[in-house]
Amino acid sequence: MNPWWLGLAPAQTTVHCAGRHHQIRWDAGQLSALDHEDPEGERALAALGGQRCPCIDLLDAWERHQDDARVLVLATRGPADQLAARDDDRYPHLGLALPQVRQRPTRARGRRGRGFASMGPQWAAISSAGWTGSAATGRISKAAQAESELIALLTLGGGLHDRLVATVAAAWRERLRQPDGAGARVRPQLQAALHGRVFDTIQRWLGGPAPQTQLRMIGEAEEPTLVAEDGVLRAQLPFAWLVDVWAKGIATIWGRFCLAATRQDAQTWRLLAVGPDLGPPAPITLQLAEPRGPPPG
Amino acid sequence: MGRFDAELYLRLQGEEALLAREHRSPWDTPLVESASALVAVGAISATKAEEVIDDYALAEALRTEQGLEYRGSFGPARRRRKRKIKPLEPRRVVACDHVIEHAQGTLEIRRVALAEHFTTIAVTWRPNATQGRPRRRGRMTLGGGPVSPPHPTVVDDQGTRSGTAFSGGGSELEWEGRLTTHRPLARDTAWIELDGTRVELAAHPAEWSVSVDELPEQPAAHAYLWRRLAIPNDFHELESLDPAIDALLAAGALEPNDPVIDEVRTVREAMQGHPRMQSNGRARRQVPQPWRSLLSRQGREDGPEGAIALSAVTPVFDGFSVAVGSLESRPDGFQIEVDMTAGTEEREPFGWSVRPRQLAWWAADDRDNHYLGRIESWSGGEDRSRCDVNFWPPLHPQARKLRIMPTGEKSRAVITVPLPWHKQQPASGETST
Repeated sequence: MNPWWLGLAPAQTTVHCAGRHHQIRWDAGQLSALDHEDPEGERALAALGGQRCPCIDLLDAWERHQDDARVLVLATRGPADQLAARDDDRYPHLGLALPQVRQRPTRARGRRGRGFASMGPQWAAISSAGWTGSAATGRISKAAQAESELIALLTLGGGLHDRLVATVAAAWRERLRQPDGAGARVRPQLQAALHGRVFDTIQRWLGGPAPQTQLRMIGEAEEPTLVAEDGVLRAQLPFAWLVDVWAKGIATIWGRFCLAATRQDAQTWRLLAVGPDLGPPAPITLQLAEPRGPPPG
Repeated sequence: MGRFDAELYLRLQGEEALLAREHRSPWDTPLVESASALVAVGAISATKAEEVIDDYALAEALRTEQGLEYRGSFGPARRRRKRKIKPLEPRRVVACDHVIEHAQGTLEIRRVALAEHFTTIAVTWRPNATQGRPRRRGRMTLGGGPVSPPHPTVVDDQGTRSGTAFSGGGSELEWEGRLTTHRPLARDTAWIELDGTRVELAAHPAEWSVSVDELPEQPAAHAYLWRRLAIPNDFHELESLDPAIDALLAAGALEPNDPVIDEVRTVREAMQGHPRMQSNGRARRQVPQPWRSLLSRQGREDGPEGAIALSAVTPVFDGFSVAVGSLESRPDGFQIEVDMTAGTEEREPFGWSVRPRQLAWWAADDRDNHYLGRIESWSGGEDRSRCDVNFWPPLHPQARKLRIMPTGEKSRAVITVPLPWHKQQPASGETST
């Protein structure tokens, strides 16, 4: 597998689980529940009618949405485009499962992962997915459940929102590379996702009134460019720009717009960046040094 | 130039709206106008268009503090189940002019409609405390007033007896609505009694005839834009036709130099004001019929006064059947009362649709004046609805005949009604414009 995550720092957030604060950590493309040694065992127990566990539910939801192109529509386009902060218990309109329903053990099902129904009060927002409750009452459609779950994932803190976007973008980058056209169905979604993030970056980079900009989504083998013609900014970028550049937070660097970032080795990247004068792109080399130990003393 | 991708077009519009960071109210869905136009010309399916709109509506909602709280309330109108539409029942509608004094007020019996499966009585209720006070036009819903309308027991000449229920609206001064019997009375009854007071049903039925016309072929983009102007949305005022025009241009369904673009913009501009306000001369001169005729009489208040009870029912056309029960003309316009085989799902306050199944309400008189109707109040369920359609401008004082034309996408019904009052009123000497 393409190690698209190289260079991305780990991200971590706290979940209220079984009356304690547990840590959920993303590192090297994988999400894990640090306080649960045997997630598979816990899933098996839950399937047999045992208590569901919010941390494991969160892992399962992440897995269900890691190639959900809708993440790219809903998530942030950049630092200036933030989702509104929400209290965790403000989702009754989505068919919030009743507290007693949430705490009821779910029936055994063949497929793992039934949403966030088991999560504690901190996860009331997520439990708005109402998976457990709605399964019993039939009040909420599967589409509404998936949407609520997705909203909850997008409201995760600690950088996990951004890592989810990166994960989804990386999944679709791989599919676009497939010759069978697996990405064709969602190509407009992917193109719009690239469009919004490129435009947001250019707006912030150049400041002032938004310049008229045209974007063409190109294949990875083509040369990325950003030029001005007749007062119009014309960008040609591949969808992979979202994974290699935008998701890594290097869309602009040293006052330049980054067109591409190519990994030279595990710690070195060669960037191709263009200045605000839109002259010829210049290379920049980034090197991530080995982390040092704790400061002495 | 590459093939036009309507989904991408809409999604890029959504991206621009998000980046503009002008977060809108949850019931404001800016993509609907573009999407509806693209659906109308077949550039995208309604399902896909709704999916895109919904994606960006949710994206907007996630960016506002209260956005998600309205998520369940605002969305695409429920889809009408596909089924065979049957024409509405024939009915006998008899005009009445009978007032029944009650202890709490007066009940004016205006019309009785008798069909095989229902009987309704159009009434006006004026509570005693308000007698003699000026009529107020404002409405309130039933149950809010101090003295709600009575619901008398009704008997026909064959001994059928039934209770009634009132539906309608009004103010503390006056209620207007219908009494619907719990069981139908005999269609040919010569009279009815309401709590023992007899009302003769002797009035001769008004003449009417009905036909169905296929609409002339025209480019889908033109048809969409003109229909968009003719069918106002009660909850989402048409701010501009430009999103639709831009989308149609992008899709290649309109050419940039198409004269219709200017014409629809001119009409839209002229219709921004209240129908009673006169439009400017430019608008009147530059638009085609029937809009030119419509705008030329905009602002008049010279309509005749009178009312007709009608038993008109259309066959099924364009998936609709329509019954017109009355026509009431006033100086500032005229109104018809309509039953139709279309539910109210398209008229939910905060819903939206990219393919609304609605009728445009046109009318024309024998002097070639045209009129446009707007549904002002409605009630009903999934399959049937009942509404009042208010037309402007007012009827021409010398019109002798009116054609009421509920108009679908492909065909229209034409209900022709002779207007009896032109014989009763002296001609004003005014010529038709």
